[in-house]
Amino acid sequence: MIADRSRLFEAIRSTLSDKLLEGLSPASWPASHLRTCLTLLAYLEDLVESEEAILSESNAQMRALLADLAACKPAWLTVDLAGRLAMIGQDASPTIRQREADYQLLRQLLVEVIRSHGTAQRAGQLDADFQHRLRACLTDLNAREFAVAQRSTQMPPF
Amino acid sequence: MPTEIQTADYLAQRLGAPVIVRSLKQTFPGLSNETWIVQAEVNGTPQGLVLRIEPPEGSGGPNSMRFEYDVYRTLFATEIPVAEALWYDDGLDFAEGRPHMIRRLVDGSTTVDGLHDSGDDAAARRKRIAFECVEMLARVHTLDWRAHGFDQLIPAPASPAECWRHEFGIWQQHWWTHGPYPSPLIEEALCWLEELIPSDSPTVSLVKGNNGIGEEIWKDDRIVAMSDWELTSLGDGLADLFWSQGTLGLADFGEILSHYEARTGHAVSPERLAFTGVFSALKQFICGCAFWYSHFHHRRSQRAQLFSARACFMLEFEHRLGQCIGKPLDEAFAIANKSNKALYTELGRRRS
Repeated sequence: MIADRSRLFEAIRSTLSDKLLEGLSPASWPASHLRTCLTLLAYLEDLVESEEAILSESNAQMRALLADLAACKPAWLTVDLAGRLAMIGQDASPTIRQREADYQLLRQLLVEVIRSHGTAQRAGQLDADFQHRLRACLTDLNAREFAVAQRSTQMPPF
Repeated sequence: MPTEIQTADYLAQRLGAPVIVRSLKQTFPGLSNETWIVQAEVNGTPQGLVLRIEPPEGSGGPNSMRFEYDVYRTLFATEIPVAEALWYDDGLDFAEGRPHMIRRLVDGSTTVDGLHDSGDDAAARRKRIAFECVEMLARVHTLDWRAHGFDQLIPAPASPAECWRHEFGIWQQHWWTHGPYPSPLIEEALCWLEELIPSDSPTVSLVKGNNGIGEEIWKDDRIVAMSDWELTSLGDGLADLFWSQGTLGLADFGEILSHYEARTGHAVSPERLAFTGVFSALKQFICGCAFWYSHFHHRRSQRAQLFSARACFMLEFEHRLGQCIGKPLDEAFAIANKSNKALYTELGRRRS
């Protein structure tokens, strides 16, 4: 039987918060450890809710941006990086674990692209069109991916 | 974790005198390094000492325990109130070989009770605390660091105009070297901010780094010793106004800034203020992620606080920085400083 996950999270939360944290001095390590657990619990709950959408939609968006770049081959893109971008395939990753691996790989490639453009920018060769598309993509990724931290960022970390 | 007996043996050896440890307690807060309060009798005389030990996974910041010890020793010769650092050691059987230092205990507390009580008296008290913090920071920033040899410990920018380019370069390199995961957003934030670096810092100052409640020793609402010098640098002192753990947010920031300008003798341009506020968010993200969270990420530590700090602070900073990219600096400043979490000011909140 698949348990109702929100009830599970709530049961854990109320045990930590109402039964254990209450009665402890706020400026003590036991209280800190409990606050930490509560923050992580909130993060985990939001992660479970949103990770599938993050991984599939963010991966698709990064793939599209990098594929466009591979097709355009701007002068500021290193030959090595252009070759690696040309080898990015479609999403053939049905499991979350595989999508996570793709997510990290795509982010790493995007970081290298940004650094390559940054070098060009310092030399006075800004690619305004790329910068505009990159920033639009990052705005979407940022908004989407913050879903995992909506509650945890409102809570004390320790 | 040191025991009372181990600590007594170690201190006796070091001090060359019989030592009894009456109590040994780890302080809270204290995330980047362990801090233990030792109440001992040395040759029959009561003595309070502070034992500061690097965590098993390594330093929680870019600088070593040895660096912090050297800063303490250098500061003790100045007019800035700090505890006396007695010695540094590492590679011993004691503390599992971990780097550590011993300081004299200063009477006081890192937290302040009742800061969030209601009423006019409490409001006045919050303002006093905030002004005490900025006053002490101004003293640090107007210290003649060259006369005390701080440039022998810390690389200095070539000139005041180079303060922010120097600082930017250091923290960019920290991210490139120690960042635990690729972040396109942070990478583009670095590119964006690099174009906006100001050059109107009036002077090169000693910069404390993290400060305020939770970092200093307070007594009767005054700072009796400034503590936690692990992020000390040489640069634009204005940076310290944006890492006060919420302490400067206890008063009107405009009044705080005016006081700071009067005290240091230098006006702060809107551009320099805005850049400092935004860059401080980036610096706090890099510090937390590259030097705290990375221990958890790379499985050097299982401390849950290292992940919860990321879930609480670093993702918030990353998100806000993402919203800043490409915007005019004054808008970015408002986004980056929308709210500053009062990390430790609420620990003294009275329970009803």
